[in-house]
Amino acid sequence: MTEAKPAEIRCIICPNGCLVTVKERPDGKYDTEGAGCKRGMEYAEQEYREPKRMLITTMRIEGGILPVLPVRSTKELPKDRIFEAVKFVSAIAIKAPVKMGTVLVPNLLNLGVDVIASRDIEGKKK
Amino acid sequence: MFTAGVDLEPMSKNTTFDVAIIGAGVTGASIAWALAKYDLKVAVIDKEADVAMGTSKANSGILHAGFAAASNTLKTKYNVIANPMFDKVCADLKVPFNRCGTFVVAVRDTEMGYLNDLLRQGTENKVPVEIITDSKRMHDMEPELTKDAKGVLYAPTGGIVSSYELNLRLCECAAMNGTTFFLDAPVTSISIKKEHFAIKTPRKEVKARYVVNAAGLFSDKVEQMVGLHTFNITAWKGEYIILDKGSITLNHILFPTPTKQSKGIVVTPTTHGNILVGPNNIFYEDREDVATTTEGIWEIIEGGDKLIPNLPLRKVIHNYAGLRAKADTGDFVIGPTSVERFFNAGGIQSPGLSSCLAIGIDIARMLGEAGLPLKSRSEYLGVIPKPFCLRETPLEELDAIIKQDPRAGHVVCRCETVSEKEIVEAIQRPLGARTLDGIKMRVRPQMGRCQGGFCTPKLLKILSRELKIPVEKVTLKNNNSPLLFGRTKGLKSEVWQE
Amino acid sequence: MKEIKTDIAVIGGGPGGLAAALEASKTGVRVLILERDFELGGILQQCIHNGFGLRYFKEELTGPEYSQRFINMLKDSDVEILRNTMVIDLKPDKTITAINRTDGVITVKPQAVVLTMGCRERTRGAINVPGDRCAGIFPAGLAQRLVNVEGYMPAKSVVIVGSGDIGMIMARRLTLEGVEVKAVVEVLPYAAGLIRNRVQCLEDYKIPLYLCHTVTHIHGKDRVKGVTIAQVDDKWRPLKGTDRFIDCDTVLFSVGLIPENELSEKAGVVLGSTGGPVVNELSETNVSGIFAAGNVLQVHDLVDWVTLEAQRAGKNAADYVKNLTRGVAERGRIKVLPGDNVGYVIPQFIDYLGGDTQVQFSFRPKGPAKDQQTLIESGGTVLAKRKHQHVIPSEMINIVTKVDPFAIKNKEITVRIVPQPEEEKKQ
Repeated sequence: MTEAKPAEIRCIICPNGCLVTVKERPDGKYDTEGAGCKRGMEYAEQEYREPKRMLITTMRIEGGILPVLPVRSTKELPKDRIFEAVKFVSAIAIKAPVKMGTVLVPNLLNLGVDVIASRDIEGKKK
Repeated sequence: MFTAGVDLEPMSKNTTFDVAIIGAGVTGASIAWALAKYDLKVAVIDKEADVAMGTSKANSGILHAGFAAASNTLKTKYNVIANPMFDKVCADLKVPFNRCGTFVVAVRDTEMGYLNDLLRQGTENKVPVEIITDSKRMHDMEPELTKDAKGVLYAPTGGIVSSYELNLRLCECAAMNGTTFFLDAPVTSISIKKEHFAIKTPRKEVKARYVVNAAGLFSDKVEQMVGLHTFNITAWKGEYIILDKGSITLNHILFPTPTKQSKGIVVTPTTHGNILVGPNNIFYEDREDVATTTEGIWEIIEGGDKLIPNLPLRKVIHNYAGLRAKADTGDFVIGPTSVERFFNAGGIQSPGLSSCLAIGIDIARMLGEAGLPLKSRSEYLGVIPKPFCLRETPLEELDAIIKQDPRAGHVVCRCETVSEKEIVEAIQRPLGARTLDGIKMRVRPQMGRCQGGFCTPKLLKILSRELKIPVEKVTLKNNNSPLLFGRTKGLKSEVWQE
Repeated sequence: MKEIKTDIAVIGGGPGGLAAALEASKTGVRVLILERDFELGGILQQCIHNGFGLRYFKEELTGPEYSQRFINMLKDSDVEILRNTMVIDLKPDKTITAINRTDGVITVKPQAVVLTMGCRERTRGAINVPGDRCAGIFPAGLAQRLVNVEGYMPAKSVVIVGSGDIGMIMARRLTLEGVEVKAVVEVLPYAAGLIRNRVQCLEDYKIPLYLCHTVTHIHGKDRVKGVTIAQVDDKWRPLKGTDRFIDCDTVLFSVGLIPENELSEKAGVVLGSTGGPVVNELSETNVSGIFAAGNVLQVHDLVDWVTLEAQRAGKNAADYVKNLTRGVAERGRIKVLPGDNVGYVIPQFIDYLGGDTQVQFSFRPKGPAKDQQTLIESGGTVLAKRKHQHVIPSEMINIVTKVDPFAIKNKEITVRIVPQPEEEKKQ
């Protein structure tokens, strides 16, 4: 088994922005160097192991006072699935009215994460 | 396929016009306006999608008093005749104009000689001018003027005018009286037939018995199309910066002492309350290059500082540039040519705006002398009714207008306080706006301090609705300048409804 | 002409106005919000990314979620709202003139006014960027509105000028919508916004960030064809020979926000160095009964602070209406001045200082630094002190503290940011 390459991760927890080097040990644990605090160390490890991001986008909404609805994921999902997630969500249209927090896409891409509405959008008055 | 330019054709497609004017800048517009009172079929042809798209919207907006040029020039002749005409014409056509007076400022004792030269020239040209050396009087008249001012040539008949609005209104007046406009129509060739000229443009051929060449930066190329070569045009760029309303108090147009090449970098109020600084004067090979430059902007800021120290640069809202069409004859090129019924009105650099009304009237006279019948048009409309303008409407009246037309209560442009009603009217008027620049020129949205940051989404929707085109097809100035590339999320391309 | 009676008029229904109106209405006074858009929420409606509410709600919300919370609270209150209504005049006697489609011209004569009009964006023209004036040049916020609210796409390939948060956020947003973001160009030697955004908006998508660079020319006769960028010296002047051309069809400008105080000035409100009104600890301007909060007072980076600032303004406006505040004659006018490495301080005056008064000082450092401390001093006596591991201009510092009235000398307080003494670091 080849040795995993170390990575330099910029910590984003606070504006110190420590540059943390993370390397996977053969026993599956991690060596980190350069983190200024515990939170930063944990973040860098997570980011090295499986970087995750929130999904933030808009969805087409029909019959509403606005043409698009801002949506977000309830939790972070793997960074390398984000483009796929945006594509999936962009292909769906929903119908007005919608209330903030409504689940629009449950268990997105089977990742255990829902997509919810960020705001209310009323139906258009005729 | 949406075309930004439009043919306004009260005539049938095979009309032979009495006169075709090539160029819808202030010169062409003035000629069309002068001919509009006669019973004639007149066409105006322009390569851009709107009128006033060249030098006529990118200059200093100054009505010169007429003291600068030699008395035996056409520049002086037409400037001095046209100057007193501006009050009535601007009032009739509802063009913002203010006869505020001009200062030429000497900031060194060695410059006083220039003022004396101008005093002499002005007197010879019969223009009221005086030299003021009393510092108190100078600064009472102009409080922000540099303390270095040693003397000032004061010309009370100088003034500021909104040049693009003048251009527009002259064209509107012509259109109201039956003139046909061919826009988005660059002239590619002109054939001389027995009784008329055949003017080719990509979409149309325009036939006319008389042709007036008012083609500005390309007026030499246009005369060459009929085999003439009496002058050459070179393009000289002038850059400007605009400051926000209320940034300084300025009562007069301020000139520095002139150089051989130009009148120099001016600081002037505009009719809308902004402050303009510029222009510089640089030769450009490309007659369509109206980009501003780093060096140019610094040059004009330096020039402006000379007259008004510590210009509040944080109040700058925009920069622009225009190209002067300079003829190598050193003067305007105006009059008949060796080609029968073909007239030139080219090489119109400064004081072109100040001379345009007189040029228009004189070209009409010359056309008459060349055989064009000048019979008065019955039912000539020479006065444009004042369009609704929210910011100038007293509140009681405004309330009544909104009750009649709710669009007057929808403020679209916050910086200039412009309502939907006046924007819609600017689109629906003769020669109405068809682009964002067209709206900007006619009623001011996008001219203010936010430069369209707030109003653009609303303007896109209004243009879409009024022109019945999808929002994404709305353009800035012509078909090659769309603002948007489409919709997101597979949304339909639609005409805005509300 | 319609006349509307109310106690407090709030101009602007974004996060500032919402918080001020709600807080004021809790005391039972009548409150009216005048909002020019078709709905409340202000700029938050287009800020669909998360990062809002960490302090105020202890949750990480998107912009629209944050404003929806307040809009929902408003539904349970007696606050009156006029939407699609543009205020066109504000007089020193607090008379408001506004217009809309249905009511025509409206006059409001409130006892107090809270200014919460927010900001506009600094434009290409205001920073003298030379070049052509073609289609495809947008302030970043306009592009954000077109994409996130209106559903239009203004670009295929873009260069973004300015690495503040709005610029970086739009870099990510546009990338996810299929736009090629060619570069972010920043005149400073560091990214102006949050590190989180540098990582998650630029590095994630491998978008080049050119520090110490500026756009020296925009090319394009009808639509943008590209930009020329160049490296700059420490005075932001382009360095010869460093030009490079980047082709693109769109240029977005994210070069700062300007508080919108044209109405404030009409009322005789005096503005300070933030571009917003000079205020005292009550958020009251020099005009008695006119208060200001939010971006119109000072440009904020966290909406949570806007809410707190606006709640204070709303509460004080309500106190004013109920005659619970002391008058202009009793103003103490203690000056609050920016000292070492402090760009500005709000409030600029403290007027009614008692032993129990909690004053909120809001300020920003002029330049970034590590291991600093803020000293709030008067005549050499330290009145309050706070330590900071890091300070950066893009992050506002807010300190709420009591101030000993007897320790004030010469009616002056200075706020300074200085390095922590060696022995105190890492404590």
